[in-house]
Amino acid sequence: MQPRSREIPAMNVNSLLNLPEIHNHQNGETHIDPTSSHEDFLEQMLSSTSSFPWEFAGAAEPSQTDDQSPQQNMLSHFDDQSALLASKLRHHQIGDGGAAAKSLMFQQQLMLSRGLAGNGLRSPAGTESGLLPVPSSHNGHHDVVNGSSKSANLANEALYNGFIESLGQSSNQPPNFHHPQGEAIQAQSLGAPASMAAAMNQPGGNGGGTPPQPKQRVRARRGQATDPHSIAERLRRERIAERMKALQVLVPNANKTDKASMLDEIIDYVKFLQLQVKVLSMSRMGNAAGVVPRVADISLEGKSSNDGMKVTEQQVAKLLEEDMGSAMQYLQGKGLCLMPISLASAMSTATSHSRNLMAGGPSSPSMSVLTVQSATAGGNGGGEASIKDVASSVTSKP
Amino acid sequence: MTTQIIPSNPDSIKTRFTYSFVRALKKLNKSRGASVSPSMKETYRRYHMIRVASYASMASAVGSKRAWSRAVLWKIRNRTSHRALKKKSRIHALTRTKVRENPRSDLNFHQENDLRKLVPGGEGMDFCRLLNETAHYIKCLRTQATTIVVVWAVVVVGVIVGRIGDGCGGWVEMSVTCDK
Repeated sequence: MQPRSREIPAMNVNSLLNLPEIHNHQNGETHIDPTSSHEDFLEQMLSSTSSFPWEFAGAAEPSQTDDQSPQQNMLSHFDDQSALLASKLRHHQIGDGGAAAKSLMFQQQLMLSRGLAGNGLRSPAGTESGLLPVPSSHNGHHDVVNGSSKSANLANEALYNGFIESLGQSSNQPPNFHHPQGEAIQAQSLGAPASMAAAMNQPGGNGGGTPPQPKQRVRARRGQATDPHSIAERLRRERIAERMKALQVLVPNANKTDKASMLDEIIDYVKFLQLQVKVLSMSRMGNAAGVVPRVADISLEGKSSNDGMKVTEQQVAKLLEEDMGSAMQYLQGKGLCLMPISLASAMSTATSHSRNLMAGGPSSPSMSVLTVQSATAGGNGGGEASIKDVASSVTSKP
Repeated sequence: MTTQIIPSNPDSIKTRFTYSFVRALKKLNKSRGASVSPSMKETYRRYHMIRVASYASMASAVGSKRAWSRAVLWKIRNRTSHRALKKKSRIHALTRTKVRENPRSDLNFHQENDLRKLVPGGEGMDFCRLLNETAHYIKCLRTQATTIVVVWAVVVVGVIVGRIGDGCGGWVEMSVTCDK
């Protein structure tokens, strides 16, 4: 029983969440953004509501105390009600479609929560934060078991508001009439908590495209026959959200909440990184190999190079006045680069056996020019500096 | 002129990448030949080889754990027959992605497609996995970029660097073993 009852709240949430996506899908792409923004909201709310049947399951099963009987009475009471609702739902669905189903669903939820509140059912931990838990996975609702009754009411109100919004944009649902029927039958065969959850599932099994009714806002869900699919979708959806969040951390300027713009940002960043690697490997390393013959005539050893450097510097300074790009090109042609002073000084001070490292006297305060050393290393009559080992170690990078 | 290298994290991707990249550069350098002024074509060819070397060493540093690294290695190894295979795999990939297209992801279908093209090996996986691979790929690209700069500084410029202060990113502690 327990796995069942665990599974069904998950399906609960799954199928609950399917609705806006289905709406989106069928609306074309018109109502995407409002609903998608509510999706997460709904997600959170629903995870809190889904904790309620879970609470029953959790409360009923482990606590083998006297509490069980009143709970079970209540449960059976709800069971009847849910069965009733389910049957009502069937009829409604054939007529209206999911909105009525949703409304019934919601009604049931309300009753449930009121029952909870009425019985003063409190979870042992009784957290207040049950209102908007963020489910990290579909097992997240396990953590939300601690929703207190207060939060139950709040959650219901939130649900209510959320549903109003989502229903306002709902469209027609694929008719899954036969599913709830099967579900209803199945529900009664299951245990109390499971059946309740399943019954709650059933009305959700059919989407609703009918005009939203203010009080009875029930979230239509997929029928149980398609539930595996919806579970999978739900899981998948959560995983995608997780990964988007992880990507947000990596990508700079990622404070956009919109998924589409987030993806744009990611794509741009990947392109940029690829380009950067390409440019670096080509220009830097290419220079290492290709510039050797060219720079061979520039002797970078000792003081003569200073003069050479000065000439270069003056040239660069002149070019810089005109155009940064041409200055860079000139430097690149010579196999030189511009580097901030801090880096250059750090490199030079850290050098113990500096092999001809020369940082030219900065003509401009913020730049200094590094020479290409491989010219000396590699260009000395074929004696190559064979670098045996270069290894980098990672110190802490914030 | 020899100094010891002790990477503080010998098994990190960065270290492995650095080792293999430098090795590849050495090989390239050796096979450079004695041409004094390489033609344009040769220069570009060299550029290309260096780029391939960097990607290959990155991918081999990552290993086969990741789909994108496998894809890169596979591409590099099968470059001769790559074109023919590429067409086939693209067709397959397209059909596959169509089948898997989901109401969820078709909001961003264009972007998803773009991302698939960008990330190597991204053609044949679902969106969720693609995001995963993208995250890892971004991390590796970043280390690749920063490592290349440092390798350049050491190999090309010949700097023996101690611990650079945090102002410069503070991640490098390397020394060079070299023979003249």
